Amino acid sequence: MKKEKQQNPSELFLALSAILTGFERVDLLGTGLAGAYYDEVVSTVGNRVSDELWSTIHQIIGRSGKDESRLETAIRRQVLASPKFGPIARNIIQMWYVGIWNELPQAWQEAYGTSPNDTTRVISPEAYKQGLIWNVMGAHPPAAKQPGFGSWSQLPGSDLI
Amino acid sequence: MSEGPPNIPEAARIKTVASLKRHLQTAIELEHSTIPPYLCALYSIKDGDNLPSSQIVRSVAVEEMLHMILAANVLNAIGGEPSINHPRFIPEYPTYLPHSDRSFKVGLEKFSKATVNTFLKIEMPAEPKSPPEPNRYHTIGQFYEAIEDALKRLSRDKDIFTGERDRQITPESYYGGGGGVLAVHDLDSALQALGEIVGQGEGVSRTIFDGDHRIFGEKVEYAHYFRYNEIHEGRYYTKRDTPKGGPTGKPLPVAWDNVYNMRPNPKMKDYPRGSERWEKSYEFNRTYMALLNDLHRAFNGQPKRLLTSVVTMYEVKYQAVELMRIPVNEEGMTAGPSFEYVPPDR
Amino acid sequence: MTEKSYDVVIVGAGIAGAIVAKTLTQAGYSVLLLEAGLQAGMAFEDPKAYENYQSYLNNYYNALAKVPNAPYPNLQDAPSPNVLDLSPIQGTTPDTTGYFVQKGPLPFASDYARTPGGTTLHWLGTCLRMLPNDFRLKTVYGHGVDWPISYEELKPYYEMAEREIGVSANVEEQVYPNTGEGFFGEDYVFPMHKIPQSYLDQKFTEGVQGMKVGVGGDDIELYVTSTPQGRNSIPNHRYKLTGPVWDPYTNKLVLERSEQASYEPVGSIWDPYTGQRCEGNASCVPICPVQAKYNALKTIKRARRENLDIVTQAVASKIEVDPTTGRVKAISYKKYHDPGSPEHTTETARGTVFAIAAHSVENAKMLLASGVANSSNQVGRNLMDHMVFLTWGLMPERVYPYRGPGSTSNLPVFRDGDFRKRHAAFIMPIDNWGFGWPTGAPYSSLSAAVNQMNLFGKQLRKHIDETVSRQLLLHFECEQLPQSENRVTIDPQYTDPLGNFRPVIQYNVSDYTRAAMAVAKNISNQIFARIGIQDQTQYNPTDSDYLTYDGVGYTFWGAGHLVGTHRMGLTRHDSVVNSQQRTWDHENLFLVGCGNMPTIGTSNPTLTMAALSFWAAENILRDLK
Repeated sequence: MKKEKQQNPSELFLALSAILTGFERVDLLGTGLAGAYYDEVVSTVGNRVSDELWSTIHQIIGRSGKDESRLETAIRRQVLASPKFGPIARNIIQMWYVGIWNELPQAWQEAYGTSPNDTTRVISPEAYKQGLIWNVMGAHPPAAKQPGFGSWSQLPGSDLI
Repeated sequence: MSEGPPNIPEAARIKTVASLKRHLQTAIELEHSTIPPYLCALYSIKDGDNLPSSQIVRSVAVEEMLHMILAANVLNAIGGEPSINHPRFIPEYPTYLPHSDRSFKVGLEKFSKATVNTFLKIEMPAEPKSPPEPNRYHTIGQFYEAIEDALKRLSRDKDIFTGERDRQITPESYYGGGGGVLAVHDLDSALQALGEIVGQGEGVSRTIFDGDHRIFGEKVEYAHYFRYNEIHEGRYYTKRDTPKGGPTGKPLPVAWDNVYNMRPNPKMKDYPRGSERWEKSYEFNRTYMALLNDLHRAFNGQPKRLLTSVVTMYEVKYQAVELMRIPVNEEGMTAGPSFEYVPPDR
Repeated sequence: MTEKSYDVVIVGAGIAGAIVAKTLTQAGYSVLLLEAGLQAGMAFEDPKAYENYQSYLNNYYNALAKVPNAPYPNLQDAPSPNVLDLSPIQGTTPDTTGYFVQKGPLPFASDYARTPGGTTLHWLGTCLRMLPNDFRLKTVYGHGVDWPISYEELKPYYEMAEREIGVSANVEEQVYPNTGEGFFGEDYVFPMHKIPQSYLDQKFTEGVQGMKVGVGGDDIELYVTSTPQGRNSIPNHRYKLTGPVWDPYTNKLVLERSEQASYEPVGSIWDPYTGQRCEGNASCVPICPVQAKYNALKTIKRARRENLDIVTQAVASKIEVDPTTGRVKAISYKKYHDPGSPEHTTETARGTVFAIAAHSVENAKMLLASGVANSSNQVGRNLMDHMVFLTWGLMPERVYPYRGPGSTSNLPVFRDGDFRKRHAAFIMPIDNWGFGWPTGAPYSSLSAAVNQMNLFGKQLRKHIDETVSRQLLLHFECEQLPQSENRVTIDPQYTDPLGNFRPVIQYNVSDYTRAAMAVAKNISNQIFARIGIQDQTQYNPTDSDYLTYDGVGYTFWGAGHLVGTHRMGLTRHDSVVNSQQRTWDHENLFLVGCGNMPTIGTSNPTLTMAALSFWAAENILRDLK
């Protein structure tokens, strides 16, 4: 059952996103944007490149199993350092963290193709609001998820003690 | 407010201040009991959609919170000590409402026509089939009548309002609607506080459906029942409408499908202990308990803590919505806030 | 519209115009308010008001660069300046990228918003009064000019402004240099208690506790105080003032005192229960989602509406004067239907009295275009801003920036003093939003971490948590002196699609202010050393407003304060308006706004301008009687 799940490209995207962002799968699912971000990647880089990416991830996960450091090394070498996958992976991180898609570098576009989608922009108001960077900082996206009067006087989460 | 002398047989009257205090504690729990179901419905409405429905449900939830505060103020005024964070404060959903005729259960469900139907039933108490018995009421209306009666009777011969003034929640500590918070220090203010609770919530009895009472119009705040009915019927009331006739005004558009598909009555035990979803669920309950703790402290000598509770309230909301986006099964249903008591230490 | 003649015609629906409109209509007079911005922005009820504001919010969410004008529509027919248009000026070629034609040598760094409610939609909300010596800069320190009015005379109007805006502050904490007793009225309190100071402020304050800084041979002790701001907080039950009301018998506009009175925070214009308290959105600039922050629409909403006609999408272009009497007859304005198309009709607004309140640059532009009110040759001159000088670094421990209002505390120590003989005064706000302003953090922090440091996963999280949470931004807001060559002019070469002039700006910063920036950096260094802040400040010659002083380079940013372009004075030879804010040249023409201010001091000018607007309204009421 699990193996089949992992062959599913959106599952692989989610697994890759979790490794790249350092967040758990539920955290990513909790933003409600997993589907939108997956679509963003596929529609911008095209099916050929994205299929290659998913199968690379599938292999890496298969081989690394539960060995986290092996997993990270593999991701670093085969994905982040790859001229083909690196810029995509870095974009995936920034999508989850701040809801922005960054136009792929000139060199990448020349090698793998361009898409009208590929412009630097905020993906959507919801993407902006669900940016994970703010959680890491103990803050919130400005103008959204307001924390309430007086909250800024206290340590973040101090009300939860 | 009730008209005429209360229909309370002698045997069922509240006889002592101690008993009155227990009743007021129950009142707090009663007002709280509908809050988690209302919040689930509210938070399941996707951001930006269904603004009128969302505003209505929110306003009712906010008023229930106001009622909690008012009941706590009355309890504090007579020297009581509200208890907000004890293990049985939150009902186990789905549940019969306390002091109801037990004809239907209320659960934690997403916003839907069926849910709104349930809310209508909550806000419309049934006609009492019999007078109340000692400590047993058949309707919420009877319950509050007994409290009112006790306040009047017990304060006739001696001053029962012995509570410290600075335990009262005052308007300074509260903002954002729901009407006025009032500090309670004597019979008049106590009755006013109760009147506020009964008026907003219970301002509906069957009699209002007879005849041509005109109770709607701009800038009039309707009792909860009618607000939910506007959603249910998909129409606003006009000032020419009557309770019997229903709303005939402008359409109130409701997009019933633009909601998170929360699986009803979520529980932590839906997931293996320690799993990702269990952790998220547990975290929510910790946050909710933090809110109840804030309220507990606010109601027990630290009224300014009510402001901190606003911060926790926002946390509750964000974590609840986050859960509602997390899929739990193949049918496209999602997790949700379970509002379960968790003890302070893991 | 063309037939009716009003008691008063006001140009501009920002805070100045709103205050005058409200005061006059409440006194029973008829007012026509002309506004260049869109009709959609002039909505006061649910659902239109709410929907329009949501559209601003959506623009904000979608904006890559969340600059002050990001949420608000930039209209071709009534363009607004945008800080994104700034770039260094090369040689003598004017930079015509944006709405301003920047002739330099330094680009004028600030912006404003031409929209209903005006710049108060995107302002931060800081509300500080000017200090007595700010009005007497020439006499006391030998620089700049003196105002024709004193702080004492403006004091009652400051109280009106603080009530109108709804200022939150603790009066006992407002201790400024050289003000002595009686700076505030006896028993005066602000309408609401102070906005809680941030956790970051507390840590900073602990760090500078007892610290003295060496400045020009003197040792000055630092202290931190809470910042008064136009943002909703807990009402102060000791605040008993209402009004102001116009008393036609005494000819005065007065606040009344009543023991029954209590101040109610004014929430959003679409729903009074929203925005009753600041909710910590941390986006004041450029938009407060709940309108807990004051904006001028709240004042317009309180005007007596049956006496008020508002025409939007109306760009006032020419003031028409009767050549024999010198009185203004009418104002002609261009009414557009579609802001993206130059098509328009020309209409005329008639009245007894005219008040131009379109913001200092637009006011000057209109006067120059009409050839009026300029016998002094001062119109457009003496343009001033505050130089925002920033330094930034990492605190030794997490302080959790990006939370709360933009600034909740400041150090007032350098707002006045003997040093003003040698260099400009400055105020030191502590900024709550990390390195955002100078570097585009946290986006830039993320980008650097991912692209340069090659971090990902848990390491990335850890890095962000450990660094971005320690970001501190220290802010020195430096006074600028009025200088004749800092000016707004017009040139037929440069027009907008409607055929109105674009502002042509010549601008520079004198040594008096540059010296202050050097002093500020020195103080910053001392503070950073004492607290143990890792300095990350960097100024680049490629920054738009990069300058040098004594061989050292500094960058400044615009504070959004545009002041001085039609200043008030004692004589018609060196000023445009008299102390009544009436133009010397035209008896029935009043100018309202920051353009009237002869010096800028060290406070955000909006509060002073609001006070002046009440005073101007009072003067107009006296005229109309």
